Amino acid sequence: VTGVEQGASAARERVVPHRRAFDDPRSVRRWTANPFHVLELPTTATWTEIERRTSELLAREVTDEIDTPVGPRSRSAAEISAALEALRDPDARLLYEVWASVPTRREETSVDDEPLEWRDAMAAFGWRQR
Amino acid sequence: MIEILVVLGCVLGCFVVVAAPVPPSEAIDPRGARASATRRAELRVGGTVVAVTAFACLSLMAVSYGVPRLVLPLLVALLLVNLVLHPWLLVRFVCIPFGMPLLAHRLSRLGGHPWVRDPEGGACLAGALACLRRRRPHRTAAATLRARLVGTAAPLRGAGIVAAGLLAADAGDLHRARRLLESLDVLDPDACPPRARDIARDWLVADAARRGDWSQVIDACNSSPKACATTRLFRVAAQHILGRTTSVSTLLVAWARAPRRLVTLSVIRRAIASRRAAVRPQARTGFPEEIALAANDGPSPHQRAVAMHLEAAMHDPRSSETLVRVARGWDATLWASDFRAHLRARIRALGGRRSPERTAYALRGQVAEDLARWWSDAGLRHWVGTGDTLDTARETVVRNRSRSLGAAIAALARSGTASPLEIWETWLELRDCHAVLVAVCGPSRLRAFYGALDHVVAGLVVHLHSTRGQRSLAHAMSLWLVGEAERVHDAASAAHHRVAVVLGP
Repeated sequence: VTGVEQGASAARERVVPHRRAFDDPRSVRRWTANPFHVLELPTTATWTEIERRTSELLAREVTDEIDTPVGPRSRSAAEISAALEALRDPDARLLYEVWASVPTRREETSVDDEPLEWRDAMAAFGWRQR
Repeated sequence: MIEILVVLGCVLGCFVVVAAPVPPSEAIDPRGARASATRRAELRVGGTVVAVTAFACLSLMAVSYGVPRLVLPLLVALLLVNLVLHPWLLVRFVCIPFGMPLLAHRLSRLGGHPWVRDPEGGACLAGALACLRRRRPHRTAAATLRARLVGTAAPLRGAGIVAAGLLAADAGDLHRARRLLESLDVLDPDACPPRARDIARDWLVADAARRGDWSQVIDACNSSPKACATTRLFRVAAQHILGRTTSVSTLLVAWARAPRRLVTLSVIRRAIASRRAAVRPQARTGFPEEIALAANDGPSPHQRAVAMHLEAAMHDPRSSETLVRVARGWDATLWASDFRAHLRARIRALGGRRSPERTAYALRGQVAEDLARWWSDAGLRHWVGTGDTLDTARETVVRNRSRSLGAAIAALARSGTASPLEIWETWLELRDCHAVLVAVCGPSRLRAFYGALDHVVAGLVVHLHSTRGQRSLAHAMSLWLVGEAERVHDAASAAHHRVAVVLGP
């Protein structure tokens, strides 16, 4: 039974992978790695609220999912700690506030219905795909 | 007896052809790429004619002496001699399709068509093609071919560059592969076998289709008048996807003519489906409604600018118009009084040390960094539009690229003992950096950049031509130097480099 459960769990992970912020292109990391989105706090949060929230999240010791303006991403303890550090400097924090001023969403954002990439293009010439 | 005399006359004629090349040797540089290619081609043709004639002569003798059973062994010998003279037949139809890179390389080293302009590079290219046809990578063969390309004393020419590009693609370095294969455009036709050029074009077409860059597919297909059935299929599919043709029958005919129809069926379906999607009244963008709303009519100016920035960040590649729209959005925001008031209030609340103006400058720097990266990633050839944010982005591009150009110049200055392939790649890096600077800089700055690179590249041209015997590479670099000298109106430098161009590849 345990084996079956593990298999099902692995299959679920394969079907719904947890996207990580650092896997994103640099262009969208301003949002996916934004400390306010990582900590799920409003941009008006006080330093006390930020510290309390960080402690709560770190105490859980689990990697969970957050909503960002480009869709859900996973967050780890390292990212939570990095978010706290990033917000220490008030000048840097103000820039993060500006970037975090767009709403988050639960669904993955796709730009096109179906991408026009043709992944088998090399095989059309008989060449191996990479 | 008369027949034998006729045949012997033919043999004599062949020796005359081999001894007296056509065109005459005084019309071309005897040490140039064309002369050596002509010489090799003539030797092959002469050898083939001699072999056939000898076979005819000996067969006739065998028949006349009453031993006709000798004709069959003679025919086998003729076939073997022809395979040695033209190994491409065996390589093309056996070694490459069955993925035998080392055998393909060894056989191709015997020379002959289609690599008479670059026998050493052609042998490596045959091996690289066989590598790509294998189901799994052949690391030993790839390493051997790479070592051969780097370590050979023979001049690096078109086929060798294509082989290096395909081996880079096989190793997963697609950026390097693209750069090498695109670099054939600057090589003299005498230094590049047409077959190598076709292979490079086919790979670039397939690569563009894989990335979904269908405009690039059409450009690459149109770069050469001779196209195989698969390339023609790619062109028709790209035209269909981009809405430039309406005939499904043209697409189906192209598909039927091309090989590997099961593999290419998916692109036919995709092309037809994309056409249907294009005629829908309104395509769904999949972009969050709240962000789209914010981009049009958000609650504050900076939220609109951020929303537009986010929208552009999620669309790859970005057009010049997108960059201009984002930059104008930030221009309208960064220096607006309400945004300054918002910053001032937040700085006061947070206890920040920066003034609102310096915060706006810092934000503009981040925006400019993104715009500069998007512009470079999109491979745009011209800088469009002006404005505070766009000008800052342009300066960011200039700063980054001038740094890269400086590094490339330094690397090129140190590359005297490097392999020709490494020198060529370093020069391509320098050329690409300079091309970006040409797109974003004015004439006075360009003159300064040209002054910095001119003497290094010119020195390398002399070194490659005179010491290393790499005339094709030196010729391509000289040609480029002439173009750049004319761009910055440096007549003396252009005249100097023209002398090197005249020497030929």
